[in-house]
Amino acid sequence: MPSERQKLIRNFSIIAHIDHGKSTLADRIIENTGLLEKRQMHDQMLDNMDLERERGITIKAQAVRMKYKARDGKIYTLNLIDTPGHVDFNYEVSRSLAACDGAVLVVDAAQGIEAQTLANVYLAIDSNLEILPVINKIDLPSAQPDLVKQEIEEVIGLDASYAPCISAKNNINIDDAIEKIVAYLPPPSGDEDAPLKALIFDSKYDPYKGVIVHICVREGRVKVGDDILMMNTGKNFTVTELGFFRPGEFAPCDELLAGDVGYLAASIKNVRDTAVGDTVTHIERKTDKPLPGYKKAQQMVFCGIYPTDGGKYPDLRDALEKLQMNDAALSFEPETSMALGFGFRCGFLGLLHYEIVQERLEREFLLDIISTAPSVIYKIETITGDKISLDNPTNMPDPSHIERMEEPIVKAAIMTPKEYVGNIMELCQERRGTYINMDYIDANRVNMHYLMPLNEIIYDFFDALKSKTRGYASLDYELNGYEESELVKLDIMLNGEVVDALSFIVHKDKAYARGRRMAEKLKDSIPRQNFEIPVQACVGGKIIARETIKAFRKDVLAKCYGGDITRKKKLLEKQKEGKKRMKQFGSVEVPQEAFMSVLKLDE
Amino acid sequence: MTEKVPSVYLHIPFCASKCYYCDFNSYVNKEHLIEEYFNALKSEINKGAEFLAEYGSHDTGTELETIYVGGGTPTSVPPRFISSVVSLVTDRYKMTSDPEITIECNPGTVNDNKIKEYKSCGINRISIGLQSSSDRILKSIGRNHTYEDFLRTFDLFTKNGFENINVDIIEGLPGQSLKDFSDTVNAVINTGAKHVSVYSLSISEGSKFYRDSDSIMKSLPDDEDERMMYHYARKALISSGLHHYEISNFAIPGFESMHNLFCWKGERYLGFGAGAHSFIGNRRSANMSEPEEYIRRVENSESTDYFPASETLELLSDSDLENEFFLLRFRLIDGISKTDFRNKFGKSLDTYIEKLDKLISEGYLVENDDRLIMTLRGLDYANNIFAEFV
Repeated sequence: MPSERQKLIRNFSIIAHIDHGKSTLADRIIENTGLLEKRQMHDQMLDNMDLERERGITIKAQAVRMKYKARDGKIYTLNLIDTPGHVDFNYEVSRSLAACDGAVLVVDAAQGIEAQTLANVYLAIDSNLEILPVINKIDLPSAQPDLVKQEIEEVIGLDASYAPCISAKNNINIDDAIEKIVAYLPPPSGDEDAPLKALIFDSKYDPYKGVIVHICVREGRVKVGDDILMMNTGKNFTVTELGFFRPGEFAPCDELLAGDVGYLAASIKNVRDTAVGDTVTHIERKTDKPLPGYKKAQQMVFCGIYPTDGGKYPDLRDALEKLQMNDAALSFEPETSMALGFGFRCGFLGLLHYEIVQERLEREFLLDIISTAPSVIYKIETITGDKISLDNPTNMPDPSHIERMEEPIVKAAIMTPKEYVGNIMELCQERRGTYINMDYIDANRVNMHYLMPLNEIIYDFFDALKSKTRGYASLDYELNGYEESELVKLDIMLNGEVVDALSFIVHKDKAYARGRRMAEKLKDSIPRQNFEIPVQACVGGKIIARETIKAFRKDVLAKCYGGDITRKKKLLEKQKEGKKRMKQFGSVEVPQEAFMSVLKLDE
Repeated sequence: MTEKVPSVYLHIPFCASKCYYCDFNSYVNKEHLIEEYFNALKSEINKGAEFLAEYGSHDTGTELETIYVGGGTPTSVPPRFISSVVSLVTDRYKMTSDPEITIECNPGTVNDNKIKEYKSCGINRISIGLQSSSDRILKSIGRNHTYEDFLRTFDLFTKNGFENINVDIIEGLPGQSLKDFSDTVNAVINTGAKHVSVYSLSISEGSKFYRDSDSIMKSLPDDEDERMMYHYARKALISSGLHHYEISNFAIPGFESMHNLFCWKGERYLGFGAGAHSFIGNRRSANMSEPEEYIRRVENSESTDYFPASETLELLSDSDLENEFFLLRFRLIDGISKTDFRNKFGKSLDTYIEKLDKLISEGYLVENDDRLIMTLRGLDYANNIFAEFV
């Protein structure tokens, strides 16, 4: 039973499909509870990273605490834990949800339910959360709130009759939404006098305070000065600071009780000592059982990341370590490449996660990096019976030593307007998908289910899907196990030498087409050099495609008289500058873009 | 000031139309400015003369050896303007006894009277822009003349006693076949021109081709063909007695462009007119490009301001000057002389030995006693050589 204090607390998340207005609603709630003046807000308060704001997505979970005086006259504490809105970050979503008692489900009044709406709802249901549907963007001309409500009831099975109809963007009915959060979402419960049991749902590194652990206290209480134990890692610490979250800042306090969401600092040096999902308890008065925690982040995509300038290897390591402190889902370990020198094998949740890490390395740490073709983890059994997990194509054993190979298969749900069903079937078939079934969500939209090899999805599937459905289809997927498959390693040779960084593993039926496209693409993206360069794609030593990069154009042997000298010098400088971003392979210079371009082959 | 100033350049920015490859400082529909422009030009020429008198008086080397009237299309303006500025230079400056005075000309822009006026003011060298002998190509690159126009113009100059005539042609144009180009080369050889410039097309920012580059790039001859054109021209011109003396330039011995040779050898020059550059001592300055702005600046200048229209000024360090020495001299087919370098900069070439050795090992340069010269391969990749020196 919740205590009187707990009855005035609501811990909740907002979940939604990308672009349905989750972050905007979060901002409005912060604003309408009077935490910040409107003029103090910049758009999307909780999306702190430039990258998040630019891409319009939330990458990191963020938490904030607000006070709200409800119509019943009582003052409530609202803890909002923002969640990422992309399929790659399901892990983060489930982390956030574990710290909550309820969830606000935002659905776009014009778009209705999408693939990630469902995925997020299921996560929330798995976490036993109460769900409050909210219909957003009701001011759009194409809004059909009644239809969307009906859809929510039919597809998800939630009662949507009391769902507030709002416009987060234009501040319509936000108060109603907040009232309903208070009225419909349950308060936390948990004995305040029981032994301490707090869930770590996130952590951040702060250069002054050490690791800042985000916790949700389930039972008991914790005070500054307490000696605590991380039950999973077995590490001990003394609490130096406790507090609540305010937008962009920490508000220290003396004590956190069951039902509170906040942070603790305890001079923790290493993020690894505070595994997200771990349970915090007191050393002296341990709780008998840790909280269940949740599924560990599962890295599905791997690639090598290398500095273009070999001397920057230590800088890259520092940068990855710093990123990992705020992004527990990122993994990395040193590796070497014949072509690229020293770098790291990095693991990501998905392709978007991979792109974001890459962009952050370049922007926040000003590193020029090259990454290899992304790969998934293959399982190999050799003829001698050894079992190998392979995340780097370079290490694939000689085919004559391989008894069998398995690749990861995902269960993909694609939600689309029905006119694109044909296009999607074509695409999925081409990507070796196996059709499972298809259900109609309403008269116009269907949810299609496929089993697909993950290596087909990381290979530009999302872009292809968007372009074949004019951006209307949405995708969600989850790992469904491994299946035996006939896979081969495709190598790319430049000027007769294998560039290990460009090798990847592909189904044997796809090798020819993929090899040819890659050779073509490389031919277009590697600038002409002083000599002719053959670009070859080969499988098991057999050349399956060949292109030639012709020697480059003499270019600007135009006039060079009096006034032209300055201009001529500028042109030559530009030409030299362009060369700096290239990586030397034997005698061939390959620009960074060439690596990226082969990862994105439009069909 | 110790070095000589052998050259003056006059810029005439007016054109009847803008060619599609052109990114030069030239303008159409500004004919109404001609009168004012030439007044400003005269004022600038006078100031230049005063400057030389003030700072070059103790130097016997300040006699002018060349004047170059370029554009734009200098022959598109009434000839009296041209003769007035050329005469002003020859009057106000100390001239050698036999200066080279060049004017650039577009086919179809001259008649007998114009040519006589040019002759009377001392102009003795003509540079005609033919670009191609194919009317189809001329049209497609925005030239508003035909091959026939060129032949008539060439004849007109010859009949008026002009012997020193250059013809410009371009290879690597969109839609140009090997045959189109070899026809052009042969046509030029048949005229008996004493000097031929063969430029390879560059798509420069500011040109129509640059703006249309998405479609233009597709119609360019491929690199192999483009190089074949260049080497075809080289062989054909050499075998008709022209001597290859600079990457893009060929001449009957004795008819090399003195003006341009001075430039490639790093000599100083004064440039007058919109966008013109001057190079004096270690200062390279450029005038305002817009004719209106140029005129305004000259009109409002103080009498002691010798470079009233200058917009940018670049001060060259010793190492800049050395690098430019390589950048420019390597364009010349007889390359650079170690002795010249030592005489000019008072030190040996050894400081650059690493770069030069690299270029030699890449097959771009070859060493021949005192000289370093471009190989045939170097001609094709000249930018790689130059890029070492920026």
